[in-house]
Amino acid sequence: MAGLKNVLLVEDDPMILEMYRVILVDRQYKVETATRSDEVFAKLETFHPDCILLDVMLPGMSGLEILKELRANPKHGCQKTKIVILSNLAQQSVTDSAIENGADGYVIKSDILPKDLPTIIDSLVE
Amino acid sequence: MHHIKMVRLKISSKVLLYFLVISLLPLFVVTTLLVNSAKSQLLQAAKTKQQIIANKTAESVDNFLSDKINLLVFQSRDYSIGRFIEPDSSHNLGVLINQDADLEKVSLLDPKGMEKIVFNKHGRVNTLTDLSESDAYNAAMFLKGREYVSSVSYNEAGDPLITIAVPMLANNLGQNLDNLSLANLGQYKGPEDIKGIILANYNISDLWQSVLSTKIGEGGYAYVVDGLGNLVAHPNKKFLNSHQKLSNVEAVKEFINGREETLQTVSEVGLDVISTPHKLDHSGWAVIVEEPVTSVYAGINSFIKLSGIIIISAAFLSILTSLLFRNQLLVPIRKLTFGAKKLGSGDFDHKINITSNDELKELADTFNNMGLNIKQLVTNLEYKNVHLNIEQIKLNNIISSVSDGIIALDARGEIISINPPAAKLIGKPPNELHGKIMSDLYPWEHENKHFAPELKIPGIYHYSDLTLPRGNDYLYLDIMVSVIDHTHSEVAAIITIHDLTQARELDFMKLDFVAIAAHELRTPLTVIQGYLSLLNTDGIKQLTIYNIENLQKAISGATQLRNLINKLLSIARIERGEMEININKIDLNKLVKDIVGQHATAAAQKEQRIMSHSNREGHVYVPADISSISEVLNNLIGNALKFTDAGGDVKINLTISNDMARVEVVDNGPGVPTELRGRLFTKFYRAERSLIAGSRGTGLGLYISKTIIELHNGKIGIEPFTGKGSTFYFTLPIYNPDKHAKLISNKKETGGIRGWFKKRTTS
Repeated sequence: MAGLKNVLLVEDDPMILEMYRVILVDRQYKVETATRSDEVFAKLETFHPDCILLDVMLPGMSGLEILKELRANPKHGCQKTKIVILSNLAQQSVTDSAIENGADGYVIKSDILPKDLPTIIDSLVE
Repeated sequence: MHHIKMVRLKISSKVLLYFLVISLLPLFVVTTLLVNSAKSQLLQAAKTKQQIIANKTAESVDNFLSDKINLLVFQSRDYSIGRFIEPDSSHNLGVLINQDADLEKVSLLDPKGMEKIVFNKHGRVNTLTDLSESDAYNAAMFLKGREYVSSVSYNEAGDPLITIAVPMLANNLGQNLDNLSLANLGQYKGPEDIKGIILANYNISDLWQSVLSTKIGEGGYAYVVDGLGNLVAHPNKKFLNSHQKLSNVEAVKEFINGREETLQTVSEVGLDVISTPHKLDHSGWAVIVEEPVTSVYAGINSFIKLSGIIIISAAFLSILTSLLFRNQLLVPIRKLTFGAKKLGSGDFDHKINITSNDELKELADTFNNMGLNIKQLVTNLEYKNVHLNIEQIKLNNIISSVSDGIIALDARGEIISINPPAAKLIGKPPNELHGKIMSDLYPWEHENKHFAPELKIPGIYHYSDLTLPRGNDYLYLDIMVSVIDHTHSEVAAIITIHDLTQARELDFMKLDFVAIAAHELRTPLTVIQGYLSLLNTDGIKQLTIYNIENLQKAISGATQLRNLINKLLSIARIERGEMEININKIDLNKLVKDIVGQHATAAAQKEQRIMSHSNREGHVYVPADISSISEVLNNLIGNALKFTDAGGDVKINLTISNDMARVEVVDNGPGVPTELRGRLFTKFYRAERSLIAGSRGTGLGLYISKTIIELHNGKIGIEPFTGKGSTFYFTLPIYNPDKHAKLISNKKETGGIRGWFKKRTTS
């Protein structure tokens, strides 16, 4: 796989969503967005991302619950997809839970700048 | 009270008893001895008297009979009578009957028993009777010439009669009147020698009168029995008529057996008597003389009476004396008793007034003094008691009003007293807990082990971080155990329990709050930082220099805000014990160079020089969490730049030894005042500093740095103040595969990316 170009960005805050979308599109990524779990599952029926950037604090199902569902349920086709949690929650309990449920990375949003996102996505490639 | 009365009665009756015994016992003894000796003497005297009387009486009867017999014998030897010669015989008999008042009838019988001449009181009797069948005739004929005395018979008038028969012998030899019995003379050969018989009937009333009228003492008399024990004469005519055979009476038996001793025995009428028999020579009868014992001892009665009077007088005197004595002794004792009662009922002012100058007065004085002493003691005690009560109430109020639990234990660990908060900890009312063993009720744990406080050695012991299970949860407690030397007190230990649970919960809530607040702050911060950075890259061409400067300031402010939030979160993690480091093998030389590089721009802006130097080139590996150590370096370098004036120097020196790496951050700023150094790395320092220093620094960084370095088994500190600048340092162990390989976290860190990024390892 030569780079992860298809990215699904899940974020309920429109300003942050827009900020990340802009930079990723600017860096030639094919970006689809979702703001809640049902949108995620709907998108996945037609779109097959190489990488999912997943917020935790979402209306309805939380990001961690979506992560669990994606890893557990083959119908979404995301069991091998790289998934990075993007959240401002930094409690050990949350980060540990994310890793345990199969996240490939956990990023504190306030600790990065939008321009760091491509670097993070690129680092996921083995 | 009842008891005292009983004792008093007892004493008085004892005194009375003693007096009676002392006075009456000798009297009794003497009287008894005297009476006994008098009785034996009286008895002896009575016996003697009785024998004399018996003798005399017998003698008079014998004399009477011998007189009569002598007279008849004399007549029998009369010539005319012996030959029945008339009228001389009739004449002599007539004279005989007229001369003897006792003679009732006299007859002359021929040898064949036929009456020949008969006279009675009225003269010659012509009717002649054949008396050959009579006892008298036969006795006189066949008693070998002896005279015969019949037994007594009574006539119609009740007069006693006897018959005397005297044989008339053929050989009329001279009569020796000294020997009444003709048989004794040896002249009697056979019935052929007897020519006739004189038969005389005598009325013996006079003799009986004299015998039966014999009086001996009071109620004593004489009676007569014949040789077979048949009653012959008795003063009591009725008795005489109804009792004939007396051979069972002791005195009669004695006579029948041929003895004449005086006996003390039971009389023929059933009385206690002394009795003497005496044989009558001519008739073979006996006179029995008897005297009632009461009569014998009658003389003693007056003596006994006198003795009785003396004894009664003595008893009366004894009672009188004992009463006097009792008054002398018991009245003061009663006063003492009354005084004691008064004292007992709490009247300590009562004085016992005894005037006698003896031991009782001494006792009373002692008693009075005792009363005074007791009064003083009681007053003292009452005063102290009031005081104690007040103190007790105060103490109880304090104990029940404090929010901390307080338990008092005795030496066995049983609960003596417990206040409501302590009882509430285990959810039971205090009154149910008294007397229970405390350790059974409080299953305390300390570091997951059962905990029991030491109660043996006096002292104050403090135990913190104690837990007490409650349901699925735990109470967090802090206890203080005061072990008391309980030689003089029931209380052996006092346990004060401070419940930290709520405070801890508050702490956790506070920390949670910090975490949530941090998250909420981070979201807008992300937006600000993100758009500022977009502006900084995309839109920068359209900005003026002035705009760009302002943009840089905004970015710097946002960065500061982010650092502050991160520090707050770090503090929250440290406080909750959740700070975690992921150890990796890190090149310290490279890390220091990278961090210094990141600060170059900021230094340049303040015209400060920043440089680093290492005493060893190439890789210097340490086992460390790269983001944490970066934070420490950023913090120390940031502080140095911040507190050093423009144009100052900041140097970072790495000194590598065999097993230790030392990083120094040296500046030439104003330095840290000595008085602040002690608290520089404490959490508390931060509050002061953040208020004073305002935006210049939070002070949180040093506390976080200290925690991080200590988690890496290193040391952090500040070199002593030398007058100019300051030197902060920290040390880290050098990587040693033997020691540290195991510590390497399997969570790989992605180097070079700012932020917290963890990558899943593919297995």
